[in-house]
Amino acid sequence: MSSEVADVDLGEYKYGFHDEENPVIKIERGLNEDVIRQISAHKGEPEWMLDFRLEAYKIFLSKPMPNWGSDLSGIDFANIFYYLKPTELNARSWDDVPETIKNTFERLGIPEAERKFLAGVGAQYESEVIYHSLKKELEDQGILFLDTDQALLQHEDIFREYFGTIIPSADNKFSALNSAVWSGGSFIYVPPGVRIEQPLQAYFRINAENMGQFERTLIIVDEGAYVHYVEGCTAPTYSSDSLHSAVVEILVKKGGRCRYTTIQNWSNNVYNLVTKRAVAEEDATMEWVDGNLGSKVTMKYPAVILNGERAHGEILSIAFAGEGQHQDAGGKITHVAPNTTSVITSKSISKDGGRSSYRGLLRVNKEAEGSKSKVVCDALIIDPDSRTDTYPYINIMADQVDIGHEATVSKLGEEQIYYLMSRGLSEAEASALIVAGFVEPITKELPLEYAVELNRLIQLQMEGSVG
Amino acid sequence: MSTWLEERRATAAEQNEALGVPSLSDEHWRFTSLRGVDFAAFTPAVVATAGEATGAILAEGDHAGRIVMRDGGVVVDEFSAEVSAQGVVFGSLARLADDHAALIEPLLGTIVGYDEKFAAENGALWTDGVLLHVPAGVKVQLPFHVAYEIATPAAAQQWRMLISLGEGAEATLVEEHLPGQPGYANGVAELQLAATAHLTYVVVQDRHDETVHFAAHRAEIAKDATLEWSACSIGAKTGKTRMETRLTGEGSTGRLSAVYVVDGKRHLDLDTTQEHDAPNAVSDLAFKGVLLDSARSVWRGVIRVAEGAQGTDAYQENRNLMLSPTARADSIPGLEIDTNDVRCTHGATAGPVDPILKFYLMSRGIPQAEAERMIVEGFLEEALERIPDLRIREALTTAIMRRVPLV
Repeated sequence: MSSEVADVDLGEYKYGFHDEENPVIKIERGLNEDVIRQISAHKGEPEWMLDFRLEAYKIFLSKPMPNWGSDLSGIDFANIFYYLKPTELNARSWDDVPETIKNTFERLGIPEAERKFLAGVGAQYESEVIYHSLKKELEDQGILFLDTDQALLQHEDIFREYFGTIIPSADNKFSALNSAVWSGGSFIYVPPGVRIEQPLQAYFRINAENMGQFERTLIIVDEGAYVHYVEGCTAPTYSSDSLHSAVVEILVKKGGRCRYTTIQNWSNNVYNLVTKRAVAEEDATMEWVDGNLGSKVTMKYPAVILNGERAHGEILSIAFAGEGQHQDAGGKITHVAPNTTSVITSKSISKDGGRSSYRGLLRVNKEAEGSKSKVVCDALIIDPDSRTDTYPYINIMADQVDIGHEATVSKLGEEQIYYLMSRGLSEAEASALIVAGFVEPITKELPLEYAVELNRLIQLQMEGSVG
Repeated sequence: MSTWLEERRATAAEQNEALGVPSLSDEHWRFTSLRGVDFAAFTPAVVATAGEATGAILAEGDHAGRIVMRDGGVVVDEFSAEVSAQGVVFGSLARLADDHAALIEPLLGTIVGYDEKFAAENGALWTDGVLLHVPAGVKVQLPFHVAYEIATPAAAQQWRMLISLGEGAEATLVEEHLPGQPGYANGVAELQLAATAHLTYVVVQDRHDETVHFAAHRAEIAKDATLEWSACSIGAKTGKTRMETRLTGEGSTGRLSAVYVVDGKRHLDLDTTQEHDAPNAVSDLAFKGVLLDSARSVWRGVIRVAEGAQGTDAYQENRNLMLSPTARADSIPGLEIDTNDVRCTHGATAGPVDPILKFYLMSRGIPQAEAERMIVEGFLEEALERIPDLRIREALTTAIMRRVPLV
């Protein structure tokens, strides 16, 4: 372990290496109907899915690029590879994964994490999930955890019932793009009353240059069930851009609970434009823990629609924007049913000319009487060249509700730094400690390993930050 | 008419041509639809309509000067000789335009530009309004009073106001938009405060229930100057009011307070900015609203801190009291911070009358309706008590509370 830490000095991106490409299939650059037909044909999927893809492609073409949020003018859709199949098989045993890919994931520490505490693991490399496993006892309880392509082939009925119902293709330009070219992602079904105490994890890796990764995740938590899903993402550092545009749909049925944790650490040449939305039914709880540290540009606003009475939604968002990065992150909550509750907590840090923006929407419909919501956004801005924005939209259409929003922006407290330095810490250590304290409300919600990892990443990001 | 003025109108007219009526897809108009407004139904008011204006809330007492604009022109244009003798300039903007070109030319259209549809339209079409200039060091004790009224049904009134305060100058100006007749009002107020100047600016918008009201007020505040701005909106059918402050000088202060009571099917849209372009400036915005019936309020406010504006202290809050299940309130606070040494905070809340508070008052023998009114008044008072002039504060409170029905 110590040798590994030694070669990660000065906050350099640890995951920037890349493997030699040796794909089974790599469809030419650019997007057209033929590319979509090729993807569909390779997957041997049912006809309705091809129709769904082609319809979504039309929607994608008809929608303008968003004129708000980040600058997306650098995306060249014609220069992206939309489908790359790295290996023939989807391994159930780690030993069967091709050596180069296995090495990559070993370097990222994936199987190690699995051995320790995970209930199940999926790993996606380029367009396809190359490894998937679920503990035997969980399989026996009727839990489904497999990649989305396999789910379509093996469980078409349940798949078709939910797929595209929470985030329709026409939701936005990038959900339309994903719907047209989706590949990989996780499919999870947790039967009624089943609680998975250990997290399920998926790991996403982009390896090729100018790659587009479009995974599609669908999670159904049945009545009274519980699951915690954790995803991590990395990519090599290239001089030209890649695109990651996922769609994640979640349904939490009556009394169920789902927690979805993301630690996004893409390299600084990835446009990360993701649509995530969950529907929570009566007495259900949906929690998004969304950490954005990497990417060039992220636009991502995990959403919860509180459809059933007393449903609860929670979004914990943390964004760290360093040099050349724009993290446009936040969350959306819609109170549809009465007596629903929600909390959004956002912590963002901007440094070295980076920009982090909180963009959120809190909507309380007329029928959502007795609802309560609290939104708190705090921003820390490390140096004068950096930028932070807060755009919390609040739409209230009911009267018997209790809504509060607060936001603060501050710099690192000189007195705090001075105090810590007087106790023998260096200035960088003191700053890192203060930042760690600032994001603590989020890290304390993470599984221990992830909390440690997040703190380590922040420490690396903070090195040499104080001048 | 002078050439420079003609040129400016021409520039504005060009912009007005180029800019379409904003739609819901324009970010600033996402919550205010103009689709139901038939702009062709209004007739431009070019001249004044004689007669007496009615319904002013703050017109009583002595004034340093008084202006009433009815339809397209000014019908009352009074100014205290004593104040005039101190070098203060006050009066109808159309009347003074030629004689005071030196004052007007550097100001008109430079604070509120022509890059927004209604500001451009006004720049091209304004017919009259107000000029106030207080020279350096002059402190005017009595308030100026300005009233705008639509006197002819379906008239379109285009008013324009310029206020400039020299170094260390002090003044109070009250601007009232009277109920009058239903019509269309569009105006621009440009305010310039030189170093250490102090302006108290009170704006009451009580237009007719069917009037469409647009206004763009914008102030530039220089070093150590202070703007105390209070607004009260209880009228009009729909429209949009921009209230913008730009803190251009170090140590300047801009305080914006607003109260609004929106009832019936009224749609109120307030769009504010607090732009910190200089170090160590303070801005503080507090907007409090009461929503009744099927009314709707939109507040969009942004605090913008430019690079180099170190030591900024900026605050904004919007609190809405929801008294009807069919009312709707949108709050869109925003922070755009480009430097690190700042203290910026905002808050927004919405909720009903606090049941515990109401229960307490009722347990003391106060009837329910009365208890609710007391709570509403207490809620609004937090914003109203920021108005320095006691007489203005009391008159406004009375006028506003008249809009809150005994439930």
